[in-house]
Amino acid sequence: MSASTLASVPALILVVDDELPIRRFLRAALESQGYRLVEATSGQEGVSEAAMRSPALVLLDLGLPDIDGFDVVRRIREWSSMPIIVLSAREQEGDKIRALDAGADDYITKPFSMGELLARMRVALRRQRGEGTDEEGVVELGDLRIDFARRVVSQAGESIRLTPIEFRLLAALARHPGKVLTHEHLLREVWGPGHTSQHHYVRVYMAQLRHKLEPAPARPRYLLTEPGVGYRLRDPSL
Amino acid sequence: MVVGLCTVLAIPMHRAFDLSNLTMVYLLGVVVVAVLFGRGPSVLAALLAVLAFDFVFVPPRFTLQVSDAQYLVTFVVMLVVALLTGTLTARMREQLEESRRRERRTAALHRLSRELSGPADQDELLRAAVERIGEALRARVAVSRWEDARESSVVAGDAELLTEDAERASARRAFEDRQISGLEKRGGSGLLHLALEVGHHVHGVLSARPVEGPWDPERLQLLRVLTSQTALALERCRLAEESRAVRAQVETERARSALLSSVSHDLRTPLAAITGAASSLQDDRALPAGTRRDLVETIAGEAQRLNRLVENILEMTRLESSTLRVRRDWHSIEEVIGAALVRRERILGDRPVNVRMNRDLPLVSLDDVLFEQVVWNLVENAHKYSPAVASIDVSAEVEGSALILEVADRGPGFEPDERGHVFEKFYRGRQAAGTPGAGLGLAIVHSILVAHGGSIEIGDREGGGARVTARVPLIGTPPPIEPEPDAEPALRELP
Repeated sequence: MSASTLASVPALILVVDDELPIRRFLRAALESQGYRLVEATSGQEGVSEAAMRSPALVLLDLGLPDIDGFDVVRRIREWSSMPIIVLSAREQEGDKIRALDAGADDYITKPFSMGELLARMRVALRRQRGEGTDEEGVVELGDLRIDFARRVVSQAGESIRLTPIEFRLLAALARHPGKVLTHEHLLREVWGPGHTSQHHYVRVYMAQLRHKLEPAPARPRYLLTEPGVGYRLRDPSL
Repeated sequence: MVVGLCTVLAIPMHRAFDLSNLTMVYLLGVVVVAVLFGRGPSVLAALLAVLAFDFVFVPPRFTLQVSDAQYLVTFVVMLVVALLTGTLTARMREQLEESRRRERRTAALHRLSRELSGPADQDELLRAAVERIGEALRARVAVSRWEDARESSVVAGDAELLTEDAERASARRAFEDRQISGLEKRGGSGLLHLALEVGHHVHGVLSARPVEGPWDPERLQLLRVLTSQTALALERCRLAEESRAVRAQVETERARSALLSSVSHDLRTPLAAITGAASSLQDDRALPAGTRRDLVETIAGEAQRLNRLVENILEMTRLESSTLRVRRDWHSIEEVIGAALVRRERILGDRPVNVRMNRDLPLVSLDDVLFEQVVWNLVENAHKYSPAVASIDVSAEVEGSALILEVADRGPGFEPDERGHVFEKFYRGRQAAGTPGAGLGLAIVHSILVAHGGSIEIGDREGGGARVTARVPLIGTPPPIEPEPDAEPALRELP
């Protein structure tokens, strides 16, 4: 699918939220951005709309009146890999991890700005189309360039020396740019399935990576921390 | 035996002294017996003394016969005197003992009442009471509480006393009838149960069994007195607890109304601005573009302020509720600072923030979600109260066995007289007038640090500005990190 056909057929977004004001503002804002919208006010309705309309992306509120938002994620994941972005309230790090583990692609905390939501949606849609996730290819984020095939990382043309674990950690994040990956996910992918409880390994290697890649490690541009949840590699261009 | 001893003593004296003087030796013996053994033995000793005197010394010697009738008078007088002195001495001894007992009892009571005046907690009080009563009575003591006639539990002392069903039933009778009860009859040495009652309220049942000796009337009396004293102390404790609960409730009410008045103002102001701006946009479609933009910006800004306020109120509520758990894990403080700065980078805008810390800081055991809040609240305060171009300086270091996090700004600083208050909920410094906020930021920081076993202090910065120093104790040793087996760089030079 090329960019031009995408532009001509507006992407269909499914909004699952029982709050009318939220749906109303999402409709106004997303339609003005050229998306088409379909709305569902309950979990059941959300699952069946997702099946019937096969939207390009689902925006899902966790606090639904009938079934648990996590169950909605799980049921959709039984047959589809369509991007799901969870809309959640703050102070629920456990819920965020559960949603991600259930198969959600991302979450955004209420209240959010439209710019933030649109950026997350663009990341998720792009990932769905397979851009930037090619194992053989090259990912470019701002001035950072990651060549998976040749295991080479460079920044503004300068190559950067990484240890194998540092490279695997960066690669794991770069395969899903913009997506939050939980500590467990990173440990499994980088260290193997036996290490999933040793969160401090990720923190130590993340610190090493930041000191190699970030101009100001205590105010990172690329390697972002989601406290209590995990990490996200930000694409500064989005 | 004493009489025998007197006889032996008297034999050598027999030659030198008159017989009448020898009676004195026997009288002395009787007094000694009276002092040592009391009334009964002294009477016996008096009789034996007369017999021995007759047998050994009165001629004809070594018979009980009396040659001279005048000795009969001597016997009678000797007997009467011996009995009198013996009885008097024995009574003195009894009085002495009685006063000693009284003294002991008074001392036990005094000690008990002193110990019972201390504890504010009923369980602690009962533990002290059980120990004291056990000492004073030389008995094993237990206190049981009775929810109703069936449910009971031993709350202090020797739980083994009440393991048998029969004893529990006996204790229940004491609870229900409010009378002393026991399985053995009076004067035995079995387990006795007394209700700890004051007025109509029965606090529980005190059970005691002597370690040695029987329940003589005096011991029983002491048991009753000590029990009622314990009951009184319990009642005092209960009333104190009740009044504390009432006070706490009043305090809570006061805090709640303070919250309501503060929050309702802080909530209404942005709401008023939003409502006003939105209705202007709604009513008048012919507004100039600049005005429209101003109104929209007002709505966005005030909504953000409202959000921050609600966030803080929720956070404070969460911290104060008993459900808060500090989820400790090993974290890099650099990462926590970074998360706080990045998540709110929109709010900070172009504000320069200098972060200074050593590269080799150890991982620290803390709750990252809560601690990010600490960092952000401190940085936000510095951001709100200092000129927009002045940099905010954040530093972290390990000092002794604590992590020190410092946030310093070039704002007006804290007034000396408000330093004691800045960590109170809803307290807002005088500098804060005109700046939106609910006075919760530092209170939240304070609560989180206390939950981590840490502390916080505020001070002046050299050259002007405020400096806030948070201190978190380093707990435990960070887990080891295995070095990377193959630390060869993954990089091949680019062609």
